[in-house]
Amino acid sequence: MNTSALQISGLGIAYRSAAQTVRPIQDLDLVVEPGELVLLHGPSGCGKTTLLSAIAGLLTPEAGSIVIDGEDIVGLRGKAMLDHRRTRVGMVFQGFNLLPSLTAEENVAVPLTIAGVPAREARRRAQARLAELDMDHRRHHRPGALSGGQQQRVAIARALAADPPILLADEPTAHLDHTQVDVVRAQLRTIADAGRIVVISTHDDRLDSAADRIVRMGDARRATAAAPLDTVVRDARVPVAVG
Amino acid sequence: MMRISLRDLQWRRRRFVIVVFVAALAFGLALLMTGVTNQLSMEGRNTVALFAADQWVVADGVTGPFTSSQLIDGEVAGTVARQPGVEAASPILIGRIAIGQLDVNIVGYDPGSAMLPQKLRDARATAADPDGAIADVSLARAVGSAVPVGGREVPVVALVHDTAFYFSAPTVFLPLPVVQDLLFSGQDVASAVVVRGDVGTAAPASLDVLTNAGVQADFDRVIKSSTETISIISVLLWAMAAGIVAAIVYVSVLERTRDLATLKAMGSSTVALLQGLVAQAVLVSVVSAVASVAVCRALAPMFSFPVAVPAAAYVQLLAIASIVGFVASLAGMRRITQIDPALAFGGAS
Repeated sequence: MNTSALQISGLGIAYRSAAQTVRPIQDLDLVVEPGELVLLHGPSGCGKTTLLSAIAGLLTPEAGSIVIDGEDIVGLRGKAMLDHRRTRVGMVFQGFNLLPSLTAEENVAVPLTIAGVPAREARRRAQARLAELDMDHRRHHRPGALSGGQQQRVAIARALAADPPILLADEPTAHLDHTQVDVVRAQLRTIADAGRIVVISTHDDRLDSAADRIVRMGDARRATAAAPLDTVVRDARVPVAVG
Repeated sequence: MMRISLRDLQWRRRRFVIVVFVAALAFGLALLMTGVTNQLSMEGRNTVALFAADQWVVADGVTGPFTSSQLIDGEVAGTVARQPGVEAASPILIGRIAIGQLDVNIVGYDPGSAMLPQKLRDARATAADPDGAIADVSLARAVGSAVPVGGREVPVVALVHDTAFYFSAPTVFLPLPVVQDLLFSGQDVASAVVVRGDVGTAAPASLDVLTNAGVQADFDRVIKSSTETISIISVLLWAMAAGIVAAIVYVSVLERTRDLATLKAMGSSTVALLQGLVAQAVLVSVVSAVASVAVCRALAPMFSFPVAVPAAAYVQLLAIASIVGFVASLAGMRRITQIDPALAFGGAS
């Protein structure tokens, strides 16, 4: 696992259609150190998920750079980009996005299989990940037979399967009850404490206590008016009034 | 990725079974069509081969003895037999009657000829009265029963196989004089003289000499429009099967859009996803093709004439099914290439 910081400089992302161009992110600077858990807060449409997508290499920014492990991923194409997605980032999606036809264990093994790990080894490592998240006893169950919290843990296990240095999570507590939120919050903190960069897009204030920093992102509608994003960084563990 | 695709098929097994069933019907019908075409073609070959002739002497302008009602004088056989290069010659007389609703071929043969077909020779050897009717089993008459020919009941004395022709009309073989008597008022006429050897250029005037290939071509000419129609139906059935598989594969891709986007987001290459899709489509198609063999065998007895599916058709079926599967996956493949991995995050927020 890499221990370099995630460095985002002057990032600008635009969605273009025939009618208009929307720029949810403009001139964004952000540095996240290994071991840090950063929350992205902000209203819907402000670019939280867009930022996660850009870090994951799923979107091509129109400006700026995203440097991971000393390499600007904005310029990556083809196999280099696939390798970035396979090895550097793990993703936890809002709807879990587990493949319904596969068991929990098989779902966790998918990123390893994609990365070319032999099936037997992929299965062994998937078992280990599930055991870490106390899901070993449910490894042969399909997602449909798991509760929301269990699915979330499987999704986290899958995101960590290839041992990526960065974990990106989109609204990881959106479908969970209070008890499950506590569990997931603790797990995300543990993941960060293990030296990973954890970036979470969320509306859920219950995660704030686990964060090292909170980034409040502005309204995309203002961004279209070419206003700079209202990006505020604070230390979540020290209450600070934010604008 | 292949494994994930196969697990997806397993996951959607009810749909898989339904698609396989419907596609198997289409493939099975196409297989039946092939069997029908082959049967029609085979009948001509069997009939020509039955007489083990080298040449066929027919009336001038006749394209074949089995499709024309133009006759020649029965004496021609003797004339032909005396030609240099001719080892043996035997007249045959072909007529057609209706027994109830069934068209029946009547073939008159010379019992004393050296060219008597082996099948008839064997049948006569077992018959109590060798001059009775030797009937094809497709006539569904038992030995001892009778068939009405020319207003007279002729006893069936023996049965033979694989002698039906002209769209599987059963054939009844009778000695030439009997047929001449029953159907042609005793006139000494023949449809053709089958020849072993070479008539050469010494064929009597007003007669034509046909080769086996020529007689076979005449059979094929008669069934040509039918076989062409059947071939068109077969192609349409292949297309129908492809459409069925394509529809289900495409719908599957639409339903799995989020899953496929997630796989792309996790670093799966588009090529790997396409391979998985093609594997799914080809597997559905090939399994349907295999199931279609059972469909074909179940439906064949419902047809009014035999269906002879050649062994090569089964191999051809698997090849076509693979192609059908690949073609069926094209629409889904196009869709996969368009899936944006960012969809995995549910779009921007």
